[in-house]
Amino acid sequence: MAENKKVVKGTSLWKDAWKRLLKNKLAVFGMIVIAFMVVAVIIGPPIIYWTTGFTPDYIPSDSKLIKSFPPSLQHPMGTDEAGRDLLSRVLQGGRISLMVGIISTLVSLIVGVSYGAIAGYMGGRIDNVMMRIVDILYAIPYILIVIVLMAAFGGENTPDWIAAISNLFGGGAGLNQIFLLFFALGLVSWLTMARVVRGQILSLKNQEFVLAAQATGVSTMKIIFKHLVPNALGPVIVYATLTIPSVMLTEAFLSFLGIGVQAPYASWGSLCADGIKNIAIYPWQLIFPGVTMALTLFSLNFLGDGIRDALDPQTRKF
Amino acid sequence: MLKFILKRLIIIIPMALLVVTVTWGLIRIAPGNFYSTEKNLPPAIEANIKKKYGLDQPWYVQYGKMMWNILKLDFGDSLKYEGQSVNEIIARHFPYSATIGILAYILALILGLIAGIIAALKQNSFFDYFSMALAMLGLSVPNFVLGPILVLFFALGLYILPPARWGGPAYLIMPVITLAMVYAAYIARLTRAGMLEVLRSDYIRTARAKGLSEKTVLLKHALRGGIIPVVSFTGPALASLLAGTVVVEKIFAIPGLGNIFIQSVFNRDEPLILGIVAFLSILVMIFNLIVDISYGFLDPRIRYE
Repeated sequence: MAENKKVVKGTSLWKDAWKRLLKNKLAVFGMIVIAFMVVAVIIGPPIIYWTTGFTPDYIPSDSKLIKSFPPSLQHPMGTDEAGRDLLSRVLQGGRISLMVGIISTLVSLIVGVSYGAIAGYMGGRIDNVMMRIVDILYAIPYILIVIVLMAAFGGENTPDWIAAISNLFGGGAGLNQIFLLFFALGLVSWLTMARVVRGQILSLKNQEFVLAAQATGVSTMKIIFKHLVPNALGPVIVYATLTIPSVMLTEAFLSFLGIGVQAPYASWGSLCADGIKNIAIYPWQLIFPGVTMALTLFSLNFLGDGIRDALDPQTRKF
Repeated sequence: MLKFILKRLIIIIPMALLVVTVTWGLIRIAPGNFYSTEKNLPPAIEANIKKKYGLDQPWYVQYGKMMWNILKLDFGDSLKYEGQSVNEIIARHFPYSATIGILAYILALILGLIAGIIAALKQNSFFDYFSMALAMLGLSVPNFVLGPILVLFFALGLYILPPARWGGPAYLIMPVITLAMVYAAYIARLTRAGMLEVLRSDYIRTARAKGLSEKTVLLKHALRGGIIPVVSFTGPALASLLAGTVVVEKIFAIPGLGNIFIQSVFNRDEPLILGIVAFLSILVMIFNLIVDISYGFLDPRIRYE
């Protein structure tokens, strides 16, 4: 028996998926680029500071240097019109852009999964009302919701827990506003997630293990979150990985429109918005942040596709 | 079928009213107002303004009046653009957005369908990998990066296209391309996946077994089923194209509805916001209805209740 056990040591679904993911060259490429990007935005700004003395918001005191210089050895990406080093600004902006991807996706995950799971499991009238609310929210432009959330909870009205989270990263009014933006973005991007989860729960809730749980008197909330949600995790992970690039793009749109990240902070979107103003004279101000952002989104999309194929072997044949 | 359409058409009205209600609530929750950009407005003046716009009445009276007017399709006058009705503003600015939106979707359909179908037929070929990598690039390059780069190249570098504003057909080329790329990429991916699934299905094997020519099998049988995902995508895509051209309108200085909408939100121009939201949500729902109806023509197995 013991011998037998060794031979048929099964691989779990996750190990299997991981193996398939590693075979996908494009997904591995995406993973490497993202890992590089994460490391670069974390250790990049301090390294630049130690080697050259530039910080993202360092404006030279010599007035001759306050203009936009093209890329050079000293400034690999050039400088912006205030003479700030563009490379360290792009790296600093990358921190915020990547954080949007993670935090907003987490928020949308928590809200969307709970909402969809409850609607799907309850069924009947509750489900109907909950999903019609989703339909209505779909029809309201998300820009309006974000602006209202930012206006209603901005400044003095910032909830304490948001200020507490932003304090972990340095705090201050500007950063509070950015964290508020992360949550606002999460709160407008959970709708599709709720639909995906609801569909999954609908197909799971009539299976025997749910009946068994009900028969042994497990509470409704426990059935939903301990028995049903873990079984619906595959599609949730797939959709979450594709949400990351989409919220990053939304943040960039908002910053481009002047609603999102405000100076002195920067994100890739706000850097692009600044760059567009001067595109005819200083094209590097748009091209470097734009290409960095596009490369990151490109890699995230490939990784998301790879994870989908790895977790759902059915689609792999395509 | 007719009953199904009628039922759906009737539901649009209460849904649109609910959307308007929620939007109205959102505007009222947000602090600030349309009349004071500076603080410390003298109280007497503020009271007068409130009286003029009926803001001194209780909220349910204001809400009732507004809903009653909206039911009569009268959204009132804009608060910021004085003397202009919301209906006029929408009628004046929507055609710009609609023109570039529809042209962009047509371009996206042509590019996306051709690339997707060829990629599916020649699966794992060079063209397949190349076009799908290109599609991924289309999804990843934000249009506010693509647009200015096009301007830099064609308008400021080669001097062959006008850089911005509205004029003859030449003015349309860059905004339409900028807008179309993301949608072309989506459509190419959806078409490829849909076609691959259909090409493996039994009814295609039957069609081939009957001895139909490859052309008939592809164009008459496979394509109809294969583009169903593209059709589902068309409803929301067209709606977001007609409304969500904000960025492109801003880059190319086009006086479309998207720009007006963003301005109205910044200005807290309540009637204008509500009018545009109602207009767009009805548009979305009508597009979705048309999409649902067209499923029946594409796939005879889909039936309406």
